[in-house]
Amino acid sequence: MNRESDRLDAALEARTPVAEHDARMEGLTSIASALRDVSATGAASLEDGEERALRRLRAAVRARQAQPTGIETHPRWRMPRLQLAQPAIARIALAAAVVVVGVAIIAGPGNLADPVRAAARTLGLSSQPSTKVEVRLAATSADPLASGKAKGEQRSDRTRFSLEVEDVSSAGAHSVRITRGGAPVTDSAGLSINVDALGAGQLELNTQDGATHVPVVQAGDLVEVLSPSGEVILSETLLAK
Amino acid sequence: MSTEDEGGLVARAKAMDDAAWAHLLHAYYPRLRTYIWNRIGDDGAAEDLAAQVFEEAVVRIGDYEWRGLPFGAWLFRIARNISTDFVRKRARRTGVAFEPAEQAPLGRGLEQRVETQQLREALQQLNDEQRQVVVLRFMSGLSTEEAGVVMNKSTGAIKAIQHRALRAMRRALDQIDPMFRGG
Repeated sequence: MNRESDRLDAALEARTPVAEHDARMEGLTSIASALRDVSATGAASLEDGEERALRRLRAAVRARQAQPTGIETHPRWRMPRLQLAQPAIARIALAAAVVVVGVAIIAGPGNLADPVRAAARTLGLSSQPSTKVEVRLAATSADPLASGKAKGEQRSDRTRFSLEVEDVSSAGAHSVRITRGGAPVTDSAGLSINVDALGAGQLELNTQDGATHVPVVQAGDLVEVLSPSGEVILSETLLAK
Repeated sequence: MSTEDEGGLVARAKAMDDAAWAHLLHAYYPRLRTYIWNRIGDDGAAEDLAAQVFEEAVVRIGDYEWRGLPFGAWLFRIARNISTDFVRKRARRTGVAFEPAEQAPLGRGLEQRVETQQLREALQQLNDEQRQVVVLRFMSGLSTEEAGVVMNKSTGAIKAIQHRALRAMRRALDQIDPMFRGG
């Protein structure tokens, strides 16, 4: 099989039939030639699209030229914009804001500095103090286009840890390593995230959902995602939120 | 374009030279759009996503370093990720991963148009990995090494996938039209 595919590949690189007597292999090289012709025939219809792409590219370059050096914008994690096409969401958000401000005013001026907590207390909802950490993971040269985000939260009534990855080039189970000063963080042993065939994966652990081993992370902990072959593909230190 | 020429262009592109970007777009846009079209099967979206590849490249060019990753292969990796995102979102929305095109691009004559359509049909019968290798190698003109970089696979693996893909296409074409010869 390997020898056959090497022969075929050499013939395809040289754009010649493999051998006259080997009709089956020659048939494969003829398909490759036909495919090359197909890609050439569409060229004329591409011109308009190329012109439009050029206009968009020029706008992107101008925006980049105008941007002060050192400020990075990353489209992948841009905040979603509230659009007029989503009136239901806009109305709910507006109503929530009115309730929060109204309850905070009723609760007294001493609470105006923290209206959400004041509103929650006045409405009889619990407002547990929580510690939150999160970070956008940086890709290493082992998988330069991969991206991801890790989050952790501790509250008296729950512990959560979540991890999302995208654009990972290898599918399957990827180990997740969380360390503090080089030592594994409690309940982080054996942690893994499953990456699907499209390069994405999601891990969500929450003690309130019944998870018994949820890593208790804090700012300064190092989160790393490893490929199935053991290479670190994503890595970053958690930051306080 | 030689590697040396391209190295100079990429250096100018990093400095946000408008002309260098235009040159790179002219060199790669058609092949990127062909590759994306063959992954998603939607002409309008392929045009949009191919333009997005360059917008993303403008943002990320500062991260690009040679280190064995040719610039073209880097662009194709961005195209692969963008088209994967598109396919994933569409599959969530509609349950359709690949949408066969309503009609193939026009060829030079009727005979070629028929042949083109047959090839498209055979191509659509491959799995995503096989289709990507065939398109990268024969329609986008990448070497086995470059296709390996784009798909994060060894050269040997690319050759093996390519071999299996062409055999599968041969079988599919025999069913569609036993007289198909190609070339």
